[in-house]
Amino acid sequence: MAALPSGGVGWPGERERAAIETERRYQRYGCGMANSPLPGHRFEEGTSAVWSSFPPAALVAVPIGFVFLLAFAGPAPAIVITLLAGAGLAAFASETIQGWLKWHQPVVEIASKPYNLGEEAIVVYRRKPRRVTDISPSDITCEIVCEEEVHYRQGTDNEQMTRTVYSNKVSATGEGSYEGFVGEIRFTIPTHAGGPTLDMPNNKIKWHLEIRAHGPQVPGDAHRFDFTVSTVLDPSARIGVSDT
Amino acid sequence: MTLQLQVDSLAAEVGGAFTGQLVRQADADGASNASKAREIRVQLLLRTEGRGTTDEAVVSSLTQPLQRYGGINAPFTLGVPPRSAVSYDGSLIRVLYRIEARVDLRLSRDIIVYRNVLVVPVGGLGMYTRAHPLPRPPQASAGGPAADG
Repeated sequence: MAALPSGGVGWPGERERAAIETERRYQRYGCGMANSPLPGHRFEEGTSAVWSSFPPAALVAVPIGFVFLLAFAGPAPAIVITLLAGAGLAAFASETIQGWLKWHQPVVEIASKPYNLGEEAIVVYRRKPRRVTDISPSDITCEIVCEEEVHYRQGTDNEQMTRTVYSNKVSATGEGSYEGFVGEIRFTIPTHAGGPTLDMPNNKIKWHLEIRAHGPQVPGDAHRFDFTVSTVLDPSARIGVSDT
Repeated sequence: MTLQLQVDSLAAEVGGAFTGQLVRQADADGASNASKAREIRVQLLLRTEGRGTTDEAVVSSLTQPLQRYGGINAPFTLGVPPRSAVSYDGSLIRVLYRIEARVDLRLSRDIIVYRNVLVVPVGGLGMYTRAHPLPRPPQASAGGPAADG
């Protein structure tokens, strides 16, 4: 097969269909999404360092461990322990490792400004395979989480406490496109729980999405994306919302 | 001697302002005695409460000169900057606001009076009588998501 241009796929007509799809989305949402007030959009990389760095760290740690065991315990224990560790790792984090080996890190397209309280938000989740893959429609679950994080001193120690004050799961369907696996997720920022993003030295309110795909051809590892909520009550949320 | 801090509305939006009136009777006649009062400072203060170490900030402030004999009867306006936090009553964190007026007295303890106020989200005036978040709407509690934490 001839070398494909960047972002291309090998099926005839796919590029044309993808172009029409993108054009339709832009016509529908103005600039890719309904809640984006400015031309253009931005992509948010997965911000969870744990998920992103786990597979390479594991792939490096196992051989290093093997060499150490070989040097200090001999070949037989080294082989047995490494095999056991490898099997355990594969069982425990197979989705993450497979996702890392076969897929690029996912990105989400979110609004270029903080979301308003009560706003119906739309994010677009995208994940490209490393090789051309046939992707059938699959489910995506997205957990919207608001956490309060506080720092305090106890004796001479600096302590940190985090509590989830809002958590809600929504589902969406993703499908294969020229951009890989793509799904549009809709959710509403609540007005009755959590609060606008707060960033003070010892008191913080943070929001994030934890997105996981479920399907035979897509990896099921979870990725976390941080976002911010503004101190604006969305006009759509003002109707029928009252404190009195 | 007492200072009166009158606030027109106890709630203001982020990006809005608190307005009110400062009233203080003159405490000197200028002949037999002079007033110790030098100036009066009005501040919008933010303070966190809860499990974490308290964070405090002066959100906005202004200084008013006093009249010759220590009296004042003047309006004031304190802006709430656009990037301010809102009053919040959460699980580990509470964000509280107060307007504090402080009379600076020479060689004496300052006179301080304050009013607790609410800073509400933009567009939230008339909808909040307490700190964010709003109470859960009835329809959401009947069939809403069960996973809400």
